[in-house]
Amino acid sequence: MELEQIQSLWSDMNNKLDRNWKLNLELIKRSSLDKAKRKMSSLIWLKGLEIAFYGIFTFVFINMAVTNWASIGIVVTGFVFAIWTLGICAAAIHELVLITGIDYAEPVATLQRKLIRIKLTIIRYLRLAVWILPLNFGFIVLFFKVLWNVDIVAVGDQQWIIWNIVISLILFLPFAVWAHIKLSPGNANKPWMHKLLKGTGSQINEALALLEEVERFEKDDSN
Amino acid sequence: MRKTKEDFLEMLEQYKLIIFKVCNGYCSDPEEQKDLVQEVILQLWRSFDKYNAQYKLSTWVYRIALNVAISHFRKVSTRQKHTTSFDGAVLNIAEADDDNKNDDLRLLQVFLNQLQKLDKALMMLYLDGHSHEEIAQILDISKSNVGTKINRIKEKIRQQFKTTA
Repeated sequence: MELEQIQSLWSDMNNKLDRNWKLNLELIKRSSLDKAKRKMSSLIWLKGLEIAFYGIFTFVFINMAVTNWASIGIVVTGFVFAIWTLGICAAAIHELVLITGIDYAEPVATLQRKLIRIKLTIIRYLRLAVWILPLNFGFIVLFFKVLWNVDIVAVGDQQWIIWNIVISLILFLPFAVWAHIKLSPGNANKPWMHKLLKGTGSQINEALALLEEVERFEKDDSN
Repeated sequence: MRKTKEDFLEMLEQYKLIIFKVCNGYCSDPEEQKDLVQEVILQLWRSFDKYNAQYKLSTWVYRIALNVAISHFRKVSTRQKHTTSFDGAVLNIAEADDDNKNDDLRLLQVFLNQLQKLDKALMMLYLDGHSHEEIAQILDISKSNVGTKINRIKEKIRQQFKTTA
């Protein structure tokens, strides 16, 4: 089949669409389109709430550290957790900036890259989640403080406390640093990242597949 | 100048075929096609105030329609939650009429569907008569890259027609 014939088929296909597909302009006219505009901002609101939620926790942890100045365990836990929730806040703010920067009228390859970046922000959250491991003793401190107002560092068995801290520092801290470096959005295309993100839903897998396609597409084949 | 709903409807009437072509190209299920058309219309409306007159309106419609269609990989249930802005179907699809070119048409659609999402966009723009420069602008790749890719895809489709003949 020659190109002219393909073009003629394409034009037939368009004529068929024009004949068979009818847009209900009257319905669109009657509908409250402004409501649709407002709906779009619900995602922005959701992100705003997330930022506020973690912002409040950051404040609570800082306050906990400041008001328990005499107990070193609580102060350290408070500040470490404040940094952690602040990190989540920063990731959410970054995501919000990306979302508000979306303009569907942008060139296709550019916009698709941006949309994929938003979908891959999950990698940033994975990074933050990894830090739970070296912070595990902090959770114990927090648990005792919140439930029974007990400073476990001051009253607990010192050997048990030291062992916990040593294990966290020797085993989990280097792992967290290593995982943090590896879990970079720049590594989104690595096969191990695909495997890691496999359980996080088809959207991520499809985003990764599309990222590969965009990169291949942008590569100049003419040279 | 603020654009009114009437301006928007006028624009829709004028460029609806672009929306139809893109939605038909990226979805084969009629219900999904209706959802996608609705989503494209909503996105066009959301972006309408920001329309930049330096681009042709058709180019602008194409960009938005393609961007929505290519990123349209949400699950149906999730999508339906987001596409309830209209109190009914904005698109009615009539029963397909039969003509003797149907087989070739179907084949062309099958071959286009086998292309990757961005290659499909490129080929649709090409078959629609856009210049290499316009295609490069819409997709954000170099003009020479457009030419190379078109030649390769064209050849592939031609071969596919040949082998199925």
